[in-house]
Amino acid sequence: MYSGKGPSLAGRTISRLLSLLGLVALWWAAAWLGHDPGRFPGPGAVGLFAWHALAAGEMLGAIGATLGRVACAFVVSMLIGTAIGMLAGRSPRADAVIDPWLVIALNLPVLMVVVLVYIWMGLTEAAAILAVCIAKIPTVVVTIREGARALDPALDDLAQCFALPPARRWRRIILPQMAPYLAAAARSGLSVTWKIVLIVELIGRPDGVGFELNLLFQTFDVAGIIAYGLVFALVMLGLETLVLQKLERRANAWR
Amino acid sequence: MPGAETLRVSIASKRFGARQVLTDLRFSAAPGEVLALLAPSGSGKTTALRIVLGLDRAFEGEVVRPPGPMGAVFQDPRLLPWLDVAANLRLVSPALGATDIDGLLALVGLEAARLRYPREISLGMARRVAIARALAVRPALLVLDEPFASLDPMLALGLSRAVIARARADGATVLLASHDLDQALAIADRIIILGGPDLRTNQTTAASLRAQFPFLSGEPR
Repeated sequence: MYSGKGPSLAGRTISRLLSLLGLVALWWAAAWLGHDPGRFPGPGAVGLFAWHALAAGEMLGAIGATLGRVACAFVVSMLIGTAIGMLAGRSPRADAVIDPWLVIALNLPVLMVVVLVYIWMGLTEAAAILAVCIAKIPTVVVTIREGARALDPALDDLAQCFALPPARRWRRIILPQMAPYLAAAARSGLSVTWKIVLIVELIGRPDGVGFELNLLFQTFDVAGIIAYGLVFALVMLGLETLVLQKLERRANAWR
Repeated sequence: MPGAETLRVSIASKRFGARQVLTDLRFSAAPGEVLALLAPSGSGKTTALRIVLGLDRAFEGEVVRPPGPMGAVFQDPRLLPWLDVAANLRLVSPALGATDIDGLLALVGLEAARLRYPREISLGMARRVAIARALAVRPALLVLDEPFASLDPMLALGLSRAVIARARADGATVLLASHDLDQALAIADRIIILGGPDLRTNQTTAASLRAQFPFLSGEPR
């Protein structure tokens, strides 16, 4: 009988698992039909590569190096992007100056930025981080600017009437209103950042997941390419779920 | 000669674009005095209060506020939804202890609401929390915009008297906007009538209003 309700949580989890298993099965079947494990390896070969690479420690080292760059670029982008976004959202005059730059920055090809920064600054760690930040900051600015524009002027009046000192005004009035936007910027920020970091590493770093992908590309080791890509994507997914979503829920708990 | 702690308001003109909202509104009030701005809704009371509070500086004229903290009660309660009632009071006065908060909440009849969040209380209760918040700073100037509207009349009378008594005890100058003549007569020392279609301002006293309108229920102080 139709109950009028959606499937239960357990039911949904089972559906998701079955769907994932279906994908793996499809992959396995395609690889089996393709008869070319060198160019299109099945899940078994990829899993085996990942297992060996993890056991040998080289994959963990690469993931660690990449995570370090992601963390660094993420923090710098969030700090600078938030500052610029708040300024643009609160002051129409500042926004008039910032907006054209933003439109251009948002439409710059990431690859061009990376290549140019490497040419100008050399193949250095600072250049790598800077390139990621240039690509990432504009999207943070856009989200934060939206939040700053949505700040309730009635609460500004309240703060002004009661002469709240700036620190308390930020902590109690502005930050709680900005929390959903900060969380959104952080979440989309992280997923964009790690993808750009891989490009930066592929072009000009001596370690990291992107560097490994480059090596594997040169030897046409498709199983390795898929293994590195999948494992790192899983790590980032885990980080996003465990850390960022938890922070987001805490910021919105009062709702 | 008025003292330095006297509120002095002189608004020659306030307009929004082509619309003249206030013309030649002048008054002063000493510490402990309760002044009511009386007018129907939409006749510039809130605008006048915003000017007095320093939130609107685009007007011709001058406002001299008494030195010291300001307390304001807006038409909407403006509680922070992410803070409970006690934290909303501490927002404006972090030094408040538990007994201070209990005392303020008792004054507005909300002893039990201390740890509730704004979404968990009614609009009427939220307005009373806003009144307690304004008193929490022991204001030198207390500005109230229709603070007792939407409360039931018996409660409003008792509450308004308690609030005014507390503000007077702290030496506050109280400026109150209301469209309710009865209420203004019940609590104000002086009443200023804003408006009329010609937007001229005239001043009169509660006593002469009572003489003009003998059916009014306000008691003389």
